[in-house]
Amino acid sequence: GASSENENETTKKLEFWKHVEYIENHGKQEDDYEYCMTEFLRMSGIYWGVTALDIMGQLDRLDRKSIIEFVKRCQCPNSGGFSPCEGHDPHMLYTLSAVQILCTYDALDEIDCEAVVRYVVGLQQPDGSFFGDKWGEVDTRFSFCAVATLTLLQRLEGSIDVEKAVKFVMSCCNQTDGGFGSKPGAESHAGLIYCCVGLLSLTQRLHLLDVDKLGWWLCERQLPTGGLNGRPEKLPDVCYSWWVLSSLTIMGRLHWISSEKLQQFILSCQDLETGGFSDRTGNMPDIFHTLFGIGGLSLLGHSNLKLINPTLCMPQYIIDRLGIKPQRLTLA
Amino acid sequence: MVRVFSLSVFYKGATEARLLKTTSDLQSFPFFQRGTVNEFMTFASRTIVERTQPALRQSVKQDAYMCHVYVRADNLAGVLIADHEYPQRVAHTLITKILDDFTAKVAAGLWPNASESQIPFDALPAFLQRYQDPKEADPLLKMQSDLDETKIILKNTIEAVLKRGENLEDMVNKSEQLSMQSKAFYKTAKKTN
Amino acid sequence: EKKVLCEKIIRDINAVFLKDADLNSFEIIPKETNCNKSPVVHVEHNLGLESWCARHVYDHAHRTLISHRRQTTQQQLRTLQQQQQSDALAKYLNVALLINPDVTTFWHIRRQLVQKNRLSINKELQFSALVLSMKPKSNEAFAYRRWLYSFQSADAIDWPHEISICERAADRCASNYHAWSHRQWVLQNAPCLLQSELMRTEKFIRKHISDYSSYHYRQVLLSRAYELGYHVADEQLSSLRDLLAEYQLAADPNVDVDEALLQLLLPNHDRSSVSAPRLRSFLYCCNVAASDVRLCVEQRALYG
Ligand SMILES: CC(C)=CCC/C(C)=C/CC/C(C)=C/CC/C(C)=C/COP(=O)(O)OP(=O)(O)O
Repeated sequence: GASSENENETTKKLEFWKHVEYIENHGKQEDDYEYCMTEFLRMSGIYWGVTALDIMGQLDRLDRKSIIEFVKRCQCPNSGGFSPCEGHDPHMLYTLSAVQILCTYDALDEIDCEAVVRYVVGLQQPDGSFFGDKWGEVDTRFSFCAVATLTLLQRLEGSIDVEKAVKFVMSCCNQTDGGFGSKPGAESHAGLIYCCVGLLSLTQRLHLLDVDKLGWWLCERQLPTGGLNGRPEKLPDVCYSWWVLSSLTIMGRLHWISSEKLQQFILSCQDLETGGFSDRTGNMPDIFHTLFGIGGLSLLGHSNLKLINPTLCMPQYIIDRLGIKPQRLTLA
Repeated sequence: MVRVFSLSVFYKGATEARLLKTTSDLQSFPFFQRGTVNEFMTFASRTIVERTQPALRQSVKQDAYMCHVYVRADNLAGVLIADHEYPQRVAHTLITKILDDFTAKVAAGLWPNASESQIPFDALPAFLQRYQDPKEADPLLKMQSDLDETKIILKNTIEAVLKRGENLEDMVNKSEQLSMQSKAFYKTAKKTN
Repeated sequence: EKKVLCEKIIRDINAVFLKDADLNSFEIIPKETNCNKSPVVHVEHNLGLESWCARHVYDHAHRTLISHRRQTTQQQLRTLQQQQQSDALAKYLNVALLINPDVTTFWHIRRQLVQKNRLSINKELQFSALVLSMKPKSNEAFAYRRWLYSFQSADAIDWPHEISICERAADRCASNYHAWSHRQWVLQNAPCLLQSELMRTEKFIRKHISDYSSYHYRQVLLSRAYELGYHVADEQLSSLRDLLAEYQLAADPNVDVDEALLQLLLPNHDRSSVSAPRLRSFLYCCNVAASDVRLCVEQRALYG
């Protein structure tokens, strides 16, 4: 990484064009080792890049046609779900990413949407939870992916049992801190809080949250450096600017943290040489943290960036175009 | 984690520090890295002793480790390497205790010249074992309440204890105590950092 | 000729697997240059692979597996029936997953092989433990273990061993989310471990003072204990009494200890509506909680 050491001195500015270049080049290094090692999450990688570029108003730098062709090749003809890349197995995680990419490109009509709905519906369990794929791992991440996918396909109603899905998510809520874990009883984690708050927002059930308790816990994620961590005693990480910030935004409590300091932290994680954001100041950048760096700045109202929707982590204009209205609590 | 990795006793000579006794517990490191980790701990310990004035205490942070050093006025020095959670006050109290014991067992005349095997002091492994649990140090702390914590100098990296013009990378490259493998290891580790 | 070299390395690794049934750890050894010695090192049940070749070996194994995948999706089932084919596949799977344990699809290929009886469950448990020695945070490895156990009856499973796997992973990696979730799953399936877990986690907390996940797990243990009506026969409840005393709350000396404590803790509660064992469990849990409070106070004093 090549970010400078002296975080505090100068007020950093967004290296806009460096990041554009970083994302644009990301998909081109096909014989790179890193590229090969991350093939198993390629579909999400593309979603991260596409979304970040769109937020920066530079979506036309990527080749729409070849991306859509790629996505189409990844739909499993038997199950209807999407795999991260050809040769891999379909999974809920990549099914959501695929649908997000297609929505951004306004290209849902290119795939068999009914098959996707069938895939998602088929993974819901009697207790309302969702498998990630046919092998049976349960996690609140998958509940979010299911509900978000169906919402984007305008098929939330009349497909899965929403009431039970909500009930399962609420069974993962911890009384002590108001947060959520991956399963009933599991430790609260900002990433999973995003998933659960997001699900409640999509299903218009935010009243089930203990907003004060959860909001308090989320605010405690801010560390003296301004950065946010995802759990007590952990290091700050740019991706948690997204998971925490989006949850607070949905709950109407964004002003409970210091956005000034957070903005400085996020900017200190830019790689000034290559572009892109890393998890922490001085580390190597990657495409995942680049989206959440940009997304976080957008939530904080940084200029030159389009608005991002906190629930679906996609440009707001696309959510508007689809006519979707995830619930949000008003400021308090 | 609360862990002590190594304990060593040095004699700070006019030009360099001589290792008199050392012991380590590297169970928590990956098997094939233990050799190089051990070499680096000794290297770091020696380097810090050489750059610490007599009658001074320092605690130097390096990556996941804290190197606690005390060089006594008579040039006998002790180093304790632990993780960040091991309490600093306990570490320094322990070093004092070890150096006292050492002085009682090993005649000062031996310090400047004897080799490690000639030093009749085998208590380090037992110390290391026992004080993995800092609570064991409780009675010690009560006995030696004269330790003034404000006099412990804190440094953020080994680089910060080096003299002007010195740099760690050169020192690693030039070191005769580090094997070729350890040097290569250091470079690789730095790159993937 | 790079391909030939990769094939040889993969064969060497596989030979170690066949020779050593008790492999304990795997790691990538940082070493940048090829010294014309085998990069596969095997010492005292520890397996190491030198870093300079890891990327080539992974690349090769990955390509082989994926191209196999693409060719055989149609006739996959038939192919898997041939043991020889499965062995060849397993060879690449081992290497690929040791280097990159996050690839869900590769774990799925193993699942298919297990279903076809081409891989043994015990060997698979060993293999996933080996992956955890390399990557203690691997959720895929933990999930795979849960899946493997779904074929065994609960009383045939060595649960204490499973706990020790969780503990090793938690020790190597602070606040290891998946290790602690897995441990909750074990507890769920083997409630008889409750008492030993209460003891083990206290020890763990003393050594891992800022591992918040371990504190969370302790809360889970405690609510589980109460749920199960758990208590220890002649527990003196001294921690609880000490704690109450600190708040200047002295128990009535004229009644027995339990009764006195209940009067303090649940002054307005109609105790005839709750069974005696339940109340006893309540007091036991309060006592554990009180001793945890003391533990935290001690830790704070020691570590500031
Ligand atoms: C549409 C978007 C943006 C996302 C889709 C929904 C998903 C998949 C969200 C993932 C949220 C997330 C980060 C979950 C975390 C899962 C977890 C328990 C991770 C723990 O792993 P560690 O490696 O210990 O992570 P930390 O150390 O950072 O806690």
